[in-house]
Amino acid sequence: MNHRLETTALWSAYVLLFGGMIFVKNEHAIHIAAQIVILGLFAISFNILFGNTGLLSFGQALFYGLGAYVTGMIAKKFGGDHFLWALLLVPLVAMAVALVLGALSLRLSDVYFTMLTLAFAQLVWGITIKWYDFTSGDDGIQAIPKPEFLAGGLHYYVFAFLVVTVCLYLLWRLHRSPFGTILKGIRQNPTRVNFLGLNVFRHKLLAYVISSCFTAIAGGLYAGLDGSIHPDMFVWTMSGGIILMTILGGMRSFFGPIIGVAVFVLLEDVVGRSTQYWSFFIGAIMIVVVMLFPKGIVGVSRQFAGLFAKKGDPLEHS
Amino acid sequence: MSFDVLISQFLGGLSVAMLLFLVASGLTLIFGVAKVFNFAHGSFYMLGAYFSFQAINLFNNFWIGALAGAIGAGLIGMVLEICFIRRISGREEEGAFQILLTYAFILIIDDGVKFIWGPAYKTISKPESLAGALTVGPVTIPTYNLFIILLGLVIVVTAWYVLSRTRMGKIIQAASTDTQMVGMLGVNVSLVMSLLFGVATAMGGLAGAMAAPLRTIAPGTGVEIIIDSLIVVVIGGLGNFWGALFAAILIGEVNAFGILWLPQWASLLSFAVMIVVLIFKSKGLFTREQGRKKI
Amino acid sequence: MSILELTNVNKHFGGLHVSKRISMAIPEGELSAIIGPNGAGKTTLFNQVTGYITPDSGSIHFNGVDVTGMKPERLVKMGVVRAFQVASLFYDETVYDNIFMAAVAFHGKNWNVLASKDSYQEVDEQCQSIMTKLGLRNKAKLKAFELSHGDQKVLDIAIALTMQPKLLLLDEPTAGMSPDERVNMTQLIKAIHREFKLTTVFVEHDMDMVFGIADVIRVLVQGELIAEGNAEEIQKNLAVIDAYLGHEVL
Repeated sequence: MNHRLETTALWSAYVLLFGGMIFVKNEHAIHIAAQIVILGLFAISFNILFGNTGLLSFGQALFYGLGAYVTGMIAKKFGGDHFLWALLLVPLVAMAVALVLGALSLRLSDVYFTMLTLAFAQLVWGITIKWYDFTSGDDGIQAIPKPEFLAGGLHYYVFAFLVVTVCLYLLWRLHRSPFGTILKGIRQNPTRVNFLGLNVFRHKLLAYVISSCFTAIAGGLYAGLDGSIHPDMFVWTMSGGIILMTILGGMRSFFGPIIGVAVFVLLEDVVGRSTQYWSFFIGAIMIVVVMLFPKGIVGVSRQFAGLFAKKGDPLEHS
Repeated sequence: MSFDVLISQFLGGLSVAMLLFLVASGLTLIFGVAKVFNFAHGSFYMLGAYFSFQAINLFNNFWIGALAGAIGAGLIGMVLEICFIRRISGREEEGAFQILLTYAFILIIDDGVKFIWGPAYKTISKPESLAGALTVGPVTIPTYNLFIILLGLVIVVTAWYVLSRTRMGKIIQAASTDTQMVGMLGVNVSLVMSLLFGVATAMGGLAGAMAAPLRTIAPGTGVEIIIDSLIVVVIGGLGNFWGALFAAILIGEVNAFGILWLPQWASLLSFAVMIVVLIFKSKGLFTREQGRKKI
Repeated sequence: MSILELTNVNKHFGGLHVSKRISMAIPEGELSAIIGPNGAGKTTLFNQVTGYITPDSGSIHFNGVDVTGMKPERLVKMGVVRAFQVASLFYDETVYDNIFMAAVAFHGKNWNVLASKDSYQEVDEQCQSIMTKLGLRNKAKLKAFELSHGDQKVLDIAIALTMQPKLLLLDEPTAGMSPDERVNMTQLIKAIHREFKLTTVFVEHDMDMVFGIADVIRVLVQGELIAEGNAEEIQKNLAVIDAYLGHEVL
């Protein structure tokens, strides 16, 4: 399929599908849709690091949790009217934290980078659990207040959808910007990028800061969804789940990750309710994807589209 | 704080360290030496514990249990290697897919164990021959812990000898980095990798069986141990058994003394240690810095 | 004035002395070759000039500025640009995008996170012009991995040229090529030198090419610069014949 056509199709599908949800009267469906857009933002911003730049962070949950706790703690302490500016504060806090952690961890190569990001996230998770007086520890934070006009499932969904859409638009611009192209270059051949006169580390750092910033916004949005957050938002299985959903959807495509999230969340909703062996089920799906569909749902669709468009321009298979 | 307390705390830390090293040694072999990222290594540790529990129930003998734990985990490991891990080798982004695949193993093995043995935890007792304790002056140490420490030392010496002093060891070292070259020399590389995976998971299983009398056997224990083992392997420098031993002792002792002085934060110390190590030594403590890659 | 000046450059790899007191001065506009048997330290010398590794001792001056130990990224900005022995490309990207990245870097647009890729006319124009000059235009939409070996090497040089170098270093431009491709590459290098009036240094094993186009030939043997001169001088040089050409069929 033509690349531009694919992008247009996916953007339209996104806007129609999730925008159309506002006409759906079913509370449960709206809640599911809200989960998908929020986690979708997390996965797509994570994929700027992973699929584009080739950096496998196992600790992005740190920023998801950070966003949720900054929003949740401020709103809880100062009241629902402060929810919005707390949410505005989230990107700033996240970028500051990412600048420090990125500067420390991006000097490391491959698996050492992965392990260090994991360690940072686990450390913050541990601190959140143990520092009861500040974070309410293992109890998490419940009944986080929101401003009046965001109350109710539908209102909050519209709000989340708009915020996520703006974020996705910005990330999409980044994806196809000169900077985004350089990131792809860094994934494939960092030495050559260096010999283009560019500092690879600084580009990675900016990618890390931007990615973490949007992940934190997703976390902040989550804090308002059910008004309930828990330290487990920081834990490594959260990061692992996002990696899984990203690959399931397709890490070489901008929208791939959110498709993976949608499939995963819907499956969890349908299957998770009817079995206590949900993990087993997820594991089996993961194996099938890894073994048979490593390019994810988007990759498979592209192959199918290519099959039907065989007579077209043989050069067009981006 | 009295000297006795320090000594017994130190010995306690050492036993914890050696248990950790037993698990981490298998991970060092498969992840450090053979470069296969087995996230599920902790699950083989858990499987080893369950197999040994089952065998002890049947035969009422601790050592048969230990053997069953090692062999059972090793066999399952080999089957998984042959059916799955081998088939994704050489792929682009192989590392990420290895993580994902073995992550799937964790989920499946965890639920499988729950399905077969139920969610309740199990226990086994120490073998009678090692049930006692040794008292030297004011300090008492259980015989079983001494045995674990000895076993750890045997493993580190054996691994070091095999890897650096035998032909087999050279093949193993080269199999992951110079796959083609080793293949040209007439070595069946994929067989070597399967065996290696089997041995590594068997080591994990043995560790699980050995740890079982000191800890409980329950679903989810594999996930707890894998993170600590990864920390040990990474701090020690990938593929370095002596480094892993040192790192295990470091983590064990930091935890043992951390509980004395910072009881609330003790569980975070392992991560803190790893962060400090990696910030100052970006490839672990005992890795020789390699030159820049050829261009 | 010489554009590149090496003074007593030394480099060791462990016990191996790979660059032995190398001194040379390359005048601006020269098309020169560095030859020498395998393991003579030619690529190592390139790596030092381009900042990938730092000499143990000695100094490197570029345009009169001491650049010893300077990082590749700064040297590239100053105009020291190289192509690689094994074409160093972005293999999953199209020919256009490969050159595009270089053009983006050259124009300093690499930090722009929001602009669309095709919003910079001068970047696009430069890509088109380079592709036209190197005959890659009709392959613009092919991915780098789909190109023939010869075209990959051409693309590698195209990326380097996009950086508008003042000194171009080519590491074995014809390595692994078919005879036809070699002839094309030889002509291409000559054309580039003429067109861009560019100081060019290449490492090569193909003696037809070396003696055919190089103004000056420098001979490196076991890390040592043993001879320097035009084709005729080198062919008559006893040290070279002894050390190198003695067992080479010319």
